[in-house]
Amino acid sequence: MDTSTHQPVQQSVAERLDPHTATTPLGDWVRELCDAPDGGNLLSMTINVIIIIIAICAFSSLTAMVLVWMERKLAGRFQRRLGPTRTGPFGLLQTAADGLKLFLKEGFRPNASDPFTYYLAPLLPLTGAFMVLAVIPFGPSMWIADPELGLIFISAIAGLGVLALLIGSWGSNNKYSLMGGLRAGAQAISYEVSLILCFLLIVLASGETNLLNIVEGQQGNFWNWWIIKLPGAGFIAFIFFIITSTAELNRTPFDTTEAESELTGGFHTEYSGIAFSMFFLAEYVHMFIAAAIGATLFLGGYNAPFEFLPDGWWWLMAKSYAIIFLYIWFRWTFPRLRIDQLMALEWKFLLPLSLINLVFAGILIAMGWIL
Amino acid sequence: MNLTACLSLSAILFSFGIFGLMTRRKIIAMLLAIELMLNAALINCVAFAYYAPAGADTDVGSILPIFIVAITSAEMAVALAVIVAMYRKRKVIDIERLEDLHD
Amino acid sequence: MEATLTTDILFYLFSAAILGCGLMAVTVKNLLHSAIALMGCLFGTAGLFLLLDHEFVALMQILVYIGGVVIFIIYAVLLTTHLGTRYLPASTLKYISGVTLAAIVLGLVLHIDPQATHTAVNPDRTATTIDAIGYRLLDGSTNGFLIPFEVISVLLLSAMIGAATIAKHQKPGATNDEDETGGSAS
Repeated sequence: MDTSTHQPVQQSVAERLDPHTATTPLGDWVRELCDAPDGGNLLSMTINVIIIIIAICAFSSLTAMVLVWMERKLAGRFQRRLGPTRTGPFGLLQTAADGLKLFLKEGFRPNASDPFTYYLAPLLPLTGAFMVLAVIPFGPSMWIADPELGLIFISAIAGLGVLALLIGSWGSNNKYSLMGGLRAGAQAISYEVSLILCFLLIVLASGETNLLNIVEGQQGNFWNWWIIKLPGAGFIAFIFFIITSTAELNRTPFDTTEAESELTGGFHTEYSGIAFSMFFLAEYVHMFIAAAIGATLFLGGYNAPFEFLPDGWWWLMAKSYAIIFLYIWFRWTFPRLRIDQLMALEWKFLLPLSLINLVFAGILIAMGWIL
Repeated sequence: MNLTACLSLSAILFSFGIFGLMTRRKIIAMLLAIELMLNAALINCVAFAYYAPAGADTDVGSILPIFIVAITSAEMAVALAVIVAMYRKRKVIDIERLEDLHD
Repeated sequence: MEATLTTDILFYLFSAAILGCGLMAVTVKNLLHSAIALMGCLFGTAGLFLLLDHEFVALMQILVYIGGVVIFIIYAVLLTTHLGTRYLPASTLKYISGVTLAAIVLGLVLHIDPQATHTAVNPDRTATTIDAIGYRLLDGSTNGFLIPFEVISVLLLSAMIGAATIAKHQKPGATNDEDETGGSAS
C-alpha cells in the first residue's frame, strides 16, 4: 500500500547485501513470473499475499507445536521426569495429539455471557501475532514487510495484546475471569513502559527505527551486537528486556493473570475447545515473537557471531530458541509474584533503573565510548 | 479522495461526537464521544498537511497531532481516575444521578 | 501517495469503517461494545493516515489512542460495570436536542468546508520523516516547538501523578485485589 515511500529503504538495504549470498526473494520471483504490462501487478500481488498468509499460518502453528513440546520436555527434565515419550519419537507428536483433542472438544459458551465479546476475544491475539511476524527480518532477504518505523509498529501492536484478555474476561461474566483480566490490564500497561524504554535505547544507539537497518548495523563479529557494543548499558537493557517481556507474555513468575491456584485459570476460565486453543496457540507464538525481537535488537538478528560464518535465518532461530530456553527455565524455577509485588517491581525498580540506564547509554553514545 | 471528502468525513464524525455527548448518560460514554471529536480534529490536521500548497510547513501536520494526543491522554487519565474514585464512593456513574455534585 | 482508483476505493472503505464504528460508538447501549466500536473507528483513522502519508501519526494513533486510552477506558468499564448493569435510555428531549445540535454543527462546518481552496496535492511534497519531527520538536528557535514540547511533558507528568493520587484508595483499612490493581495502573 505504501510502497512509494518505502521503496528507497528496501533498495538501499539490497544494495548493501553481498551479491553472492543474497538470493532472490520469493516475492520478486513471483513478480517476475507474472510480469505483464497491466493486470500482472494485481495477479502477482494476490499470489504474494496468499503465499504470505499460508507461510505465516504454517510457521506460527509449527512454532507453537515445537514450543509446547519443548516446554513439556524441559519441564520434565527440570523436575527429574522424562516428559512426553509415548506419542512419536521423543514424544514429538504429543502436541499434535493434544491439538487434535482440543479441536474435537465441544466448544460451549456460558449462558450468562455476552456472545459478541466472548467470541471476539479469542480472535485478537493471533491477529496481533501475525502483524508482528510480518515485520521481523528473518534473513537478509527473508522478510514480508519492511516499514520505516518498524520498531514503533511493533510497540504499537504489542500494546494491543492485552485487549483480548480484557474483553474476553468481561464477556465470560465470571468473577475469576474478570479478576484475571483486571490484573492483565494493570500488568501489561505497567510493563509496556519499561519495554518501550528498552526499544528506545536501541533506537538511541543505532539511530534507526527500521528493523532491517538495525540488524545490518550489527554486522561483523559478535562484539558488534548491541548487548556488548554498548558497554554495560546494553547488557542491563537486555536483562530488563527479558524481565519485561516475560511479564508481557504473562508467564511465570509474572503469570498472576491466570494463576491457577488463585483464579482457576484466570481470563480463560470459561473458554474451552477451539476458543481456548486459540489463546493457547497465541501464547506460544507470542513467546517466539518476543524472543525473536530480543534477538534482533540485542543479539544481532540473523548475523553470524563471527565474520567468516555465513549469515542466515538459522542464526535468528538459534538465538531466539536460546532466549525461549531462558523463558522456560524461569517458568519452572521461580515462584509466582504477588500482584502488589509485581507492581512494586515495575514502578519502584524497573522503571527508574531503565530511565537511568537510558541516560547512561546516552552519555556513552555522546562521548563515543562504544566498542 | 480529495480535501473536501476528508473534511466532510471529519465533520460528520465530529457531529456524531456531539450527538453522543448530548444523549449519553454514563460519564465513560461521554468521554468516548469526546474522543471521537478529537479524532475528527486529528483527521483535519493530517488532511490539511497532506493537501498543503507548495512551500507550506507540512511537518506541523505530524507535530500538532502529537500535542493533541498528549493532551487527550492526560485528560483521559485524570477523568477516568475521577470516575473510578467516584464509583468507589457512590457506586454510580450515571450523570443524572450525580446532580448533587455541585453542592 | 498519488491518487489512483485503489486509493479512492481504500479511502471510501476506511471512511465507511470510521463512520460506521463512530456511529456505533455513540449509539450502542453496552459500554464495552461502544469502546470496541471506538477502537474500530480509531483503527480506520490510522488506516486513513497511512493513506495520507502520515505513518508516524498513524502508529502514534495505534500506540497511544488504542493501546493506551481505549485500554484505559475498557479498564474503567471493567471496574465500574458488569453484564447485569442496566443501561437507561436518554429522554426524548435529549435525543431531539442532541440531533438538532449535531445537525447545526454539521451544517455549519459543511457550509464552511467547500471554501477550502488548495484541493490539489502538491506534486513536490515529501512525507515527513521521523528525524524531521524530532529536530522540529527540539528546535529552540521561533520555528521550533521546544517550549510546547517541554510544557506538554510537564503536563503529562502532572496528569499522571494527579490521576494516581485521585484513584488511590483513601480508607487505610479496607483493601482488596481490584482496588490495588486499579490504583497502581492509574
